[in-house]
Amino acid sequence: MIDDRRLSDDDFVDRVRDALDQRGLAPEITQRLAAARHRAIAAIDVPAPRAPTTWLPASALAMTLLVVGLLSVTIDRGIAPPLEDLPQLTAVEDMDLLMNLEFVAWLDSDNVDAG
Amino acid sequence: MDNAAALNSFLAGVEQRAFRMARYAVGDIDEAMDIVQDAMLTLAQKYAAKPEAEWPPLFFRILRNRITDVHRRRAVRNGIFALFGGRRDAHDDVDPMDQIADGRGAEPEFRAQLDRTTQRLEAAVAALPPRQREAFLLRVWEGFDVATTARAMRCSEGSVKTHYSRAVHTLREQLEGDWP
Repeated sequence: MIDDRRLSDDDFVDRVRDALDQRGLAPEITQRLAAARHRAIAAIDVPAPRAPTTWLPASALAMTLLVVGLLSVTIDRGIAPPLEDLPQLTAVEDMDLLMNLEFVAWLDSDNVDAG
Repeated sequence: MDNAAALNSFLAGVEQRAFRMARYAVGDIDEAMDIVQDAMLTLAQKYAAKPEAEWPPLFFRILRNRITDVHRRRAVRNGIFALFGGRRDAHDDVDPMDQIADGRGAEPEFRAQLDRTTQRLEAAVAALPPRQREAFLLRVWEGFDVATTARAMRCSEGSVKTHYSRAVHTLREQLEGDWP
């Protein structure tokens, strides 16, 4: 038996490392570790599922921007009614008006005055 | 070597030591296995594209975080059981070092002596305070330098030196005259 007091710290550490390295693992453990490693490697290109809290705000923001963008485009092109008519449209009591928007627009045009 | 092959090679090289580190820390085979598996999976899914040189400190940082998670869960669980009368885990009475197999073929007498010595060594390593054990094993077993160990442990290089020095001192005290 060797008195380890004579060893330097480096020698002591070397012997500790050797002793730890000599200690093997049971075959069942090494097999499970290898299987776990293979599963991890197979998952390299599979992104981990994210928690809803991380993507919900982002998707809500994207949806809001999409709606605002669509509204601005349709208003600019005259597809949608101008925003100043919005209170009238949202407070419409007469459904016929909604059903005959084209007729109302024609009625309001200069053509009628000319006739 | 492509990324998957390189990562496979890296993990194959560290998995057994990582398992034993986790085992020293939590004392349970299945929990240690879960910890290592989770660390491998996280490294593969999130950090496979990182440079290979960054994998070792990243992997052991993830491993450390998982070990911490297990300790937190245990603390909560033990707190709850203590509140309602107390119940100890089945593995509390089992010496985790008894379950590690020795793969070395040697003469019975030498092997018995080696077993006793190595068991004492492993028990002493497992009994070190967590930060000391971590610094010691990363420096000695993984061969990390002080800077890499500090990155893995998320602490200063000065702390690593202190933890490592204390660990060596403690182990020398406990293992005095016990080397074959």
